[in-house]
Amino acid sequence: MATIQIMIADDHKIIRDGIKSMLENKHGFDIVAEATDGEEAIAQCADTGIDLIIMDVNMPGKNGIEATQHIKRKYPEIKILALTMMKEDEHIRQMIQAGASGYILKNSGSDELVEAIEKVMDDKHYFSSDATYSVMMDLVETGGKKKKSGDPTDLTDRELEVLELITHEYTNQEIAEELTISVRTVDAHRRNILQKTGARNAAGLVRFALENNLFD
Amino acid sequence: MQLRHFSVREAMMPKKLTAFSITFIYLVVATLWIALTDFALGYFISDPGPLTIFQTYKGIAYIIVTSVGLYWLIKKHDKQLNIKEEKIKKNIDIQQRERKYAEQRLQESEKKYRLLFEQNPQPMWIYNPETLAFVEVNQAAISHYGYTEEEFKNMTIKDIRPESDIPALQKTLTEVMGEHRYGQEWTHQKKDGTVISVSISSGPIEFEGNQFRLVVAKDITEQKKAEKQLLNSLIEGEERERKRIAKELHDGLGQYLSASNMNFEAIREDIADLPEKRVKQFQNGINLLQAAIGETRNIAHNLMPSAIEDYGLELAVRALVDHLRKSSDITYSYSSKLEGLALKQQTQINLYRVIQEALSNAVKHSQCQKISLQLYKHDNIITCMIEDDGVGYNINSSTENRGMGIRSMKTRIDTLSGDIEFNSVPGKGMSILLELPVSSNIKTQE
Repeated sequence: MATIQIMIADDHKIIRDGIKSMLENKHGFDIVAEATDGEEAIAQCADTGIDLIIMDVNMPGKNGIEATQHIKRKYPEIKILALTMMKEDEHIRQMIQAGASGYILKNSGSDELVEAIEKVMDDKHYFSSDATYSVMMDLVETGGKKKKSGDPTDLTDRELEVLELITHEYTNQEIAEELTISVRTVDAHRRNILQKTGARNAAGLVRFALENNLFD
Repeated sequence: MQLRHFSVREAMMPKKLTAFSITFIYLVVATLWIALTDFALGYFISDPGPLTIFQTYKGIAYIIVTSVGLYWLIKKHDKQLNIKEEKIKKNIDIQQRERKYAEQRLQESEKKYRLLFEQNPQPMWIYNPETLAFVEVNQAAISHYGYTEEEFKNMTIKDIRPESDIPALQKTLTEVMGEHRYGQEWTHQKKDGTVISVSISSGPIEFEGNQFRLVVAKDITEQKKAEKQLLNSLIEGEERERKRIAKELHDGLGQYLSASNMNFEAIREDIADLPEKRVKQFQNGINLLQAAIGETRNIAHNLMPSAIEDYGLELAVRALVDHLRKSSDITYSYSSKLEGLALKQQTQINLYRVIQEALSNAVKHSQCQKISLQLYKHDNIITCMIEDDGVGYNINSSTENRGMGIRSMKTRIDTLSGDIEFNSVPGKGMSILLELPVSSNIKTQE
């Protein structure tokens, strides 16, 4: 198997050196280029037969996300492994959207780095364990089961109390006294409940409570 | 020596001649005259013929002498009366002149004080606390509020306030009845609708026989604006500094730590040849380094959640909640719907900080099982409600530390022209309500 030609793009020399030191004892990896920002990375893709770029997300000038987009459009065969300090969901998502095949954190160990490179070169995706969790959670929250509005489980305990009193025809003033909170807070609760249940007025709230069998 | 001041006449005569003293002198002199002259005549003349004639002469002489004496006494008495009368007259004159002078002075001072009211550069007015009607307004009030004097006099003090302040006004009016109050802050509305902040000092005044209240209003709109700007720039400066430190932690220290971790990782394979104890020590070193990297990350993130800048408040708060979720057993629920509002950076950061403070208070102090956080836009208000089911607490009896947190939350919300409200009953959890006006907190179109 031919050695993998790698470019490291990071604005910190110590990080580039660190990655080099982690890979120099391993077989099959060749660091052929280094870049200090997105522009340099793009420029160097032109004449070197690069297989994979380890790309820092936060770089001055053109950042990793923009550089990834550009490179994947121009050289779709080059793989990109994103690298960052922070595990921030949005960064991960944007790098993946831009065309990166994987994501590791700067404090990952050498074994993890090698595993990531090999997976990515094998046309697979790699997410560092921390990152995997974040992205998975996000998928669960947005893509998975999208709750339709008007699910009674969305209401907080206090909102259920307020809703129950509304169905008993209490006024805001009376609810405030009953629950020893301010009228203003009651009003905010009422608006939040309307927003969550999709009801337009008190009558709608009563119907919602009945339909969902909330109170006896 | 003292006798020199006394004339013989004065010594002999009573100073004041009264009717009694005149009669008394007459009685004594007449009795003495009769007794003495009869005795003398009897001594010198024994013949009854000439005695009768002499008696007649003596009677005539007596009448002449007493007439002269009476004339002299009465004249003296008159003179004394005259002097007295003149004295009284003079006194009355002086009194009249003094009274006139006093009246004049009073008029002048009234004019002077009237001028102090009329020409006072501070808007002033007098109102009737029963009807709330304006009784008098000064020139400054007329020019500042834009109403004419006639208009003012047909208005009540309710008419220069926004509708929403009327209940608070009525409550205050009953409290201040008959008392002096200084520097109370109110919102007033000019004729053209402009809303101004004023500092009101007022007190009871007796005016034209009625118990009214005198009010001095000081427009502090500009002053408040300046204070708010100052506060804003203080907070902004603080945030900038936090951002700088966070960036340095992230770009400096963090990179060094990561790089040294990489270098240690590079020799990991060779370590296997060392004794087991050494391998353990190496692994321990790597673990500590990892902990340092994690800590640096957390500090940087707490100082300045870059998520706000990159992805906006809603996602940043979600990340915050996710982070808290991992670090405790508390159940969180978070829902938000800001309908894509383009909030000002300053608003997002301040709101984020307040939410962060509220959540950390709940986690630290409330012993709650559940925290719910809702961030919604309702019409023109951004509402944020943070509720927990913990022990609750009394805001007023809070400890210093917590009070500080609450004060800084209030300050931040203040700079966003918003309101913050704490509702808590011991044992029944706590809810914090934040309300911000949309209009002043969205980015202005360039």
